[in-house]
Amino acid sequence: MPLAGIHVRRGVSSLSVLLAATALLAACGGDTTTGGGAPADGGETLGPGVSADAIELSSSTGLTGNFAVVTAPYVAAAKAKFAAVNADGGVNGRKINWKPVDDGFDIQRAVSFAQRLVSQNKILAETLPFGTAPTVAKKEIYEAAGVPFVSLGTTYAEVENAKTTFGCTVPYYSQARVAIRYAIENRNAKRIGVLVYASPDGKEVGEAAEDEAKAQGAEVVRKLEYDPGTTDFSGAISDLRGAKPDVVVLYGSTPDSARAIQAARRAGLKVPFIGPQTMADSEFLRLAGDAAEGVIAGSPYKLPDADDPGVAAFRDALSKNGDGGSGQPTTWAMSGYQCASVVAAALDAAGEQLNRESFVKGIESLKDFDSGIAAPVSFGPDDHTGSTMALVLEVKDGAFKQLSDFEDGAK
Amino acid sequence: MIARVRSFVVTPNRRGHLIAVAILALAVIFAPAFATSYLMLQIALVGVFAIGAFGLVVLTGHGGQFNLGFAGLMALGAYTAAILQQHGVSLTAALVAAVAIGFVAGALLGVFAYWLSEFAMAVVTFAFGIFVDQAVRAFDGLTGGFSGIVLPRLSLNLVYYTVWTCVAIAALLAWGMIAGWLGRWLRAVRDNAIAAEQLGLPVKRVKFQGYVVTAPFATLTGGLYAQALGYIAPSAFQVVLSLAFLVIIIVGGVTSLWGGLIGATLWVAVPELTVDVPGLYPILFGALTVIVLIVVPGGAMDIPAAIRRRMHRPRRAGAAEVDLSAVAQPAGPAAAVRERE
Amino acid sequence: MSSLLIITGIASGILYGLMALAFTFLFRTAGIPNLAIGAMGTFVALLALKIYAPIGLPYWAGVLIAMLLGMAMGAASELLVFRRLRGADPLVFLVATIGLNLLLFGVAQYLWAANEPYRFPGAYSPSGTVIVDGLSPQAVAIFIATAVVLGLLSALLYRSQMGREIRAVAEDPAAAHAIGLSVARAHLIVWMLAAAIIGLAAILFAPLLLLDTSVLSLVMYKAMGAAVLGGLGSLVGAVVGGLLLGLIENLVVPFAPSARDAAAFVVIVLVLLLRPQGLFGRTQIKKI
Repeated sequence: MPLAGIHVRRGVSSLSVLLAATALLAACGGDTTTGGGAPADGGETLGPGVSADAIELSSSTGLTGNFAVVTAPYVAAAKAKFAAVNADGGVNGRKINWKPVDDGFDIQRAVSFAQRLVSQNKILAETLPFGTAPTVAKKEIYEAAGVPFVSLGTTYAEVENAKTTFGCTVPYYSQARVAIRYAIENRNAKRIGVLVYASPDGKEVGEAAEDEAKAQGAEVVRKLEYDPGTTDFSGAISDLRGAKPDVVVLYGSTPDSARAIQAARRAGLKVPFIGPQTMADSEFLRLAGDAAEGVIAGSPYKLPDADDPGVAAFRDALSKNGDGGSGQPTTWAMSGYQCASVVAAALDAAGEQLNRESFVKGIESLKDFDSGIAAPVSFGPDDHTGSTMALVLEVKDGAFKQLSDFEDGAK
Repeated sequence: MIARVRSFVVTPNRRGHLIAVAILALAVIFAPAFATSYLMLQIALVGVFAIGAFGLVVLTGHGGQFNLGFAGLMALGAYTAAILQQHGVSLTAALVAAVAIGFVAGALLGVFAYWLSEFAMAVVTFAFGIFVDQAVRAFDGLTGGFSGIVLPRLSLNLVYYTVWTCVAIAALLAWGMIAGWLGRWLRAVRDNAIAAEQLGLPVKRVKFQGYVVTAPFATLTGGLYAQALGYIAPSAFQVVLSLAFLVIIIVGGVTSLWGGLIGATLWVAVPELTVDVPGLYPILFGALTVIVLIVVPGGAMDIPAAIRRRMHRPRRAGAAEVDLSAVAQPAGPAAAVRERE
Repeated sequence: MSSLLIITGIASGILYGLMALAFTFLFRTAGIPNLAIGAMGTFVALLALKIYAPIGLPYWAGVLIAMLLGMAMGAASELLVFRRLRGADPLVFLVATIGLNLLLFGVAQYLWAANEPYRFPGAYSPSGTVIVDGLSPQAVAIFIATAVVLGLLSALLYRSQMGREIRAVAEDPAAAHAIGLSVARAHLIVWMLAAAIIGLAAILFAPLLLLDTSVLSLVMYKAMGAAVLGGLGSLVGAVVGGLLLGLIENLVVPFAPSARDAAAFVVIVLVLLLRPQGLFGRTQIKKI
C-alpha cells in the first residue's frame, strides 16, 4: 500500500500551490528597490515615489463594502482635484498620481497594504484612506516607519501623539458640537437624547453632546450606542422616545442615519435630529425622504450649490472628472476635494526636495490654508487636526438651509 | 498506559511525507532572506490560518462535529494575548495563555455535546461567536471595546518564525491526534455513532474531547493573528471568519492537514492577488468554493485521485447513472477519503 | 413606552419569520441548510428594482417580478449546483451555500454597491401615515403576505398530492425513487418555492430597511436562529420563532441595549437545551 506515495503526492501538490501563490505574491508584491522613476539631480534627497515629473501616492479604502456608496464620490472628487492641480502644471513641476486600492474595510487587508507600501518603497505617502479600524491599524505601521499618513481625521484620537499622521477634515466631535450648540441656544433644547454608532467617532460625538450640554446647562437624558450591522433601529428609537428628549443627537453612516430617522418617524418620535456631516449630505435627503425634515446638521463645508468662487471651482473640477456617479456633489465628495487640496498644498510647501520628512514639515507649515469650500485649515507640530470649524444647516422643505456661519467646535 | 501513549504517537513509515515536510520547512526557514516584509507577512498569515484549519480538520473532517464559533475562539485568544502583552507579559507566555484559554473554552463548548446533536452544536458554537463579540464590546475597559487594542510592536522576523514554529507544533499534534486513538474514535463517531456506541465507545465523551483539544488551535490562531496584524478590534472577528475556516478545510480536502494548508494559502492569497480589481475577491472565492465542491468533492487534495477515477471508470449505461444520482450514495469529501483509505 | 417596543418588535420580527419560513421549508424538504438566503434575497430584490423602476411599473409589479426571479434563481441553484451534490454530506451542502452566498454577494456588490442603499419607487414612503405608532401599512401588508404564504405552503405540503410526494422524497429519497417518484422534480419545486419566498421577503422589506447589498446578510443569521427556535420541521414554528426573536430583541433594549444580538441567541441556546426540537418541532428519533 503506497502510503509513502500518497503522502509525497499530497505534500508535493500542496507545496506547489504554496510555492505558486508565493511566487505570484512576490511578483505582485514587488521588490525593495528604492525610488520611483529616474531621479532628478540630488537623487538621494528625493523620497520614494518621487521623480522629476511625478509623485506617487496611494491609499487603501473600502472601494467595496458597506461604505462603498460613500467612498465612490470621495475618491472621485479627490481624483478630480488632483487632476485640476495637474492640469495647472502640478506641484513644483511634478504631477500627482494618487491610486487608491480596495481593502474592503478589512483590517487584515489594510495591514497588508501598509506593509506592502513600506516594503516596496515606491510610494511617498498614504493619503486619503477611509475606514476607522483599518486606519488605526495602518497608523501604527506608518508611525513606526516614518511614513506620512494623511487620513480623514474624523476623530481627535487618530492624530493624538502622532508624528506623521494628520487629519485633513474636521473631527465629527466638532461638527456635532457646533450643531448641538445651535440647537440648545436657538431651539430651547434642554433634554438631549443620543444615538451613536459604536465606534471611536461615535464615542466622540457622544462626548460632544455631553460637553456642550454641561457648558450650557442642558442634560443628556439617554445615550445609546448601536453595534455594526444594525439595520433595525426600532428598539433603540422606542427606548429613546421613552426618555422624552427635546432633540436627538444621531451619528452613524448616512444610510444608518436615514434608517434611524425613518424608524423614529414611524414610531412617532418627531423631535429634531442633530448630527455631523453624515446628515448634511444630499444622499441623506434622497434616502430619508420626508423623514429628513427638520434635521440640523453640522457641516465643515459650504453648501455645494453656493454662489461662491471656491465652491464653483469645486463644481467645475468635478464636472470635468466625474463625480462618482451619485449625480450630485455630496459632502463626501467635498471631503475628498478638501483632503486632496490639503495634500496638494502640503506637497507644494514641501518644496523641490520632496521626501517624507519634508512632506511632513510641509503639512505642519500650512497656516490658514483655504481650499475654497471650507474654513481655513492650520497645522502645526502639535496640531495635526487641522480645523475644527463647522457651519449649521437645517433641512427645510426638502433642501438644506444654512443657519450659521463657520463656528468653532473645538474640545 | 504506555501502550496508550505509544498508540497516540504511532509512526508508520512515511518517508515521502517527511520529504515534503522537509522541503516546506526549508522554504519557510529561508524565505525571509529574499522576501520583502510584505511577503513575509502574507506567509505568516498563511501559517496563522493553517493552525486553525488543522484544528477544524480534526474536529470536523475526522470527527464530523461542527464548530461555527472559530471567530469567537480567535477573538478569545487574540484578546487574551493582547491584554497580557499590554501588561508586559512576554510573547511566549501570552501565547501559552491563549492556548490555555482555548482548553477552557473548548470544554465549555464541548459540554453541550453531551446533550445536543451535531446540528444544535453548530448553532450553539455560532452563538458563542456572537457572545464573544458582544462581551469584547461590553467589557471595553479591559478590551478597548470597538477601539480595539494596539499591540506592542514586535519585529516581523520574530512574528514570522514564532508563527511557523507554532505551525510545526500544531501540525505534529494534529497529526498525532489523527493517527492515534482519538482520531480513530472520532472517525468512528463520525461514520456511525450508533454502531460505535454499541461497540462500547463513549461517544459523548469523545465528542467532548474533540471540542476540548481542537479549540486551542483556534485560540492560538487568534493570538498569533493579533501579533501579525499589530492591532485587533472586534471588527476583525466577524461571523464570516468562522465560515471561512469551513470553506478552507473543505476546499483543501476536509480530512487532510495538507489540505488545510492549501485552503489557508488560498484564503490569504486570493484577496491579495486580486487587490487591483475591487470586488473580484468574493466572486472568485465563492465561485471557487462551489466549483471545487461540484467537481472535486474531496477537495484540492483529492484532485489527483479524482482524475484517476475519471480516467479509470468504465463506461456505464445511462440508466444506471441516473439511478445512482437519485439515491443517497455517499459522495462527499469524507466518503472520498474513505475510498482512499 | 413598552407597547411601542412590542409593536416594533413584532413588526421587525416578521422579517425574520418570513425568511425563516423559506429556510425551514427548504431544510425540511431537501435537507439543505441554505446559508445563501441573505445574498439571494438581496440579489433578486435589487434585480427586480432595476427592472420595474426604469420602465415605470408599480411596486407590486416589482414584487411579482422578484418572486419570479426568485423562482429562476432557485431553479438555477438546484439544476447547476445542488443536483450535482446529491447524496453528499450535510457539510458539503452547507459549504456550497456559503460559497453561493459569497458569489451572489460579490456579484451584487460589483453591480450595485455604487449607488446603494436603494429607494423603491411606489413602495411605502418612510414618513407616510402609520396605522399606529410603530406599525406602518407596509408592515401590515407583510403580515398578510406571510400569513398567505404560510397557508399556501402548508396546504401544498400537507393537503396535496405534490406535497405528499415532496414529503416522501424528504423522508427517504431512495425509497421514494424506488416507488417511482421523481426526486429531481421534488427538489426543483421546493428550491423554486423557497427562493421565491426569499425574494418576496427581500422586496417587501426593502423599503423599510433601505436595502443595500449587506443588510440581509446580517439579518440572515437571526432568521436561521428563528428557524431553529421554532423547530426546523415546522413552518408555523418558523414564523412564530421570528416574531418571538424580534420581540425579545426589542424588549432587551431598555435594560441592556448592547446585548441585543446576544439576547436573541441566548434564548435560542436555552430553548435548544430545554427542548431540542424547538418550540414547534416534532421529536425525532434521537441521534447520538
